[in-house]
Amino acid sequence: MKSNNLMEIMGNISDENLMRAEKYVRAQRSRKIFTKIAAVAACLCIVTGTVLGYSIMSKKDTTPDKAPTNDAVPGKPADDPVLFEFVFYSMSNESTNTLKEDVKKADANVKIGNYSDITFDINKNVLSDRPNGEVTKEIELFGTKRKMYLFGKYTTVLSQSSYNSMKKHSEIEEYYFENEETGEREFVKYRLSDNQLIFYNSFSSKKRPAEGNTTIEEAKVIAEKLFASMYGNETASVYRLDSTIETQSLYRFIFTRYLYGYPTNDQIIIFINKNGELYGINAETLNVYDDVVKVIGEKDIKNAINNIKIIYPENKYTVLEDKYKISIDVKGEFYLYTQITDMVEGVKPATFYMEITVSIPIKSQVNKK
Amino acid sequence: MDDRQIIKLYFDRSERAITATNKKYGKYCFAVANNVLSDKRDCEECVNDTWMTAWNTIPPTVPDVLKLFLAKITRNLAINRLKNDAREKRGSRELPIALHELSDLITDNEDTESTYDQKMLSAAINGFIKNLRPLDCTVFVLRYFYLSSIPSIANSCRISQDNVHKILSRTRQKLKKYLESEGFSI
Repeated sequence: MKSNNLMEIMGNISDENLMRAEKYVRAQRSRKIFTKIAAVAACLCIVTGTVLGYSIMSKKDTTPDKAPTNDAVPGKPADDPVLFEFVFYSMSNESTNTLKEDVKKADANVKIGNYSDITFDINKNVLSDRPNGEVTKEIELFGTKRKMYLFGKYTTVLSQSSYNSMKKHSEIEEYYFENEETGEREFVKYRLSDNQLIFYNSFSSKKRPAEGNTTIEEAKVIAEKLFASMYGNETASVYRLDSTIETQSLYRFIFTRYLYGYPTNDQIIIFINKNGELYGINAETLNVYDDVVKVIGEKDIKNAINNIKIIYPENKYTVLEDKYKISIDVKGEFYLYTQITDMVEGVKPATFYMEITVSIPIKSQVNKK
Repeated sequence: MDDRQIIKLYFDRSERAITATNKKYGKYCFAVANNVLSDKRDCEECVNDTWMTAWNTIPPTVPDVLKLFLAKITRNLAINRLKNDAREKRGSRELPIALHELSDLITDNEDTESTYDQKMLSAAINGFIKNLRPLDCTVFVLRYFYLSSIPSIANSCRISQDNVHKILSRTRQKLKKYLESEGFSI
């Protein structure tokens, strides 16, 4: 990757992080202004005298030799940090909040937000860093044995869950392989509970040919077979391949777990290169939610859908039913995601669409294992 | 006019939407473009392109925070403009310096693109920034999103320029380690 590409990726910094920075700058500015006011108050008498004197002198002098200022350069914008600072935080976000408030009703279960806000948390609680002495393990990976270096061991935040399936899959070991001759590198994560490979990434640029003989349909068959062979037919049957994306040098296949016909955020991703070879796997949620999904019934989801319809009555809003998705967070709580709009068919055109998530109050509170 | 009214104008396909956006966010977007391009005419064109992109995107998109939505468009357009027109010499000093700083993170220059999906890399970087201290987060965002100069960041955060350099260097190293531990090689 070139730093140019990385700079482009920096353009995707989330609104949340940008707002956080803005809030910090605003707080610093407030402190700065307060300090200035205090200083000005303390010197008021002296300054007043000086200003009066200067004012009288200025009237006599028509200032022909006045030095040029920044104002002499029209259009010179935010080079001046103070100006940039002003522009940076003078734009408030209160109107967006107003927009949300217009839609949001007084219901504690409703959150205005994105589907991605409630996801599997990748935060780690590191148990051991990469050891100083090289700890190796012989690992058979896709039919080839290789000596891999232990990179570290950690537990995910799932260890704090009250669900067995989440807790038991929380310990992870990471290994690293580097072939010094070919420059080939691989990174894997194993789950200690069932010694399951849940993450694989090949770093070899040779494994990302820009052109290859494999079509997207052929790659899809490869990905499905690989998924079943690695994790078993039973697991494969729980997930459904519902998204296929072609990038410049890879095909990406997303397998999603469905619950009563609704997609969840439990997803496993397989990358296949254009030669039909495995490039990467991300299966960190594999079977993690097994116990969790058992406690939710179809009726719970229907109830949540009905609640949304009560909160957003159809004479005022339209709930986009094809957008329903179920999210499960790291505590094992369920949320139903959808989008609403103020469009009423045949009566009113849409002026906005809003993403919402609604927590699903279910019997899981008492049935947790 | 508040953001809600401006967005409504876009939905109504009223050209007043652009006038209102320009009035409220013109200087802000100009400042964002100016950090990348420096040249006044380029910046003005870039800001005009931002309004056109917003016009073509809303609807169906409903920006969560209109200001940041416009900032992202302006930043991307400005960087693309710099690349496409090969105008590096006319550009701001900050972009090449910031690019050089980010090259610290690059370990494999043979690859012309990410060795992993860019969307996942974005998510990982956002996760990393989220866990930074507020000051480190602010310095990082001002530098690599807004491409602000070091003196400007020092002024905004009320710290010394040396301190800004130290925070940036430390954060880049942390980010590199974090991305490696997440299985990214960039």
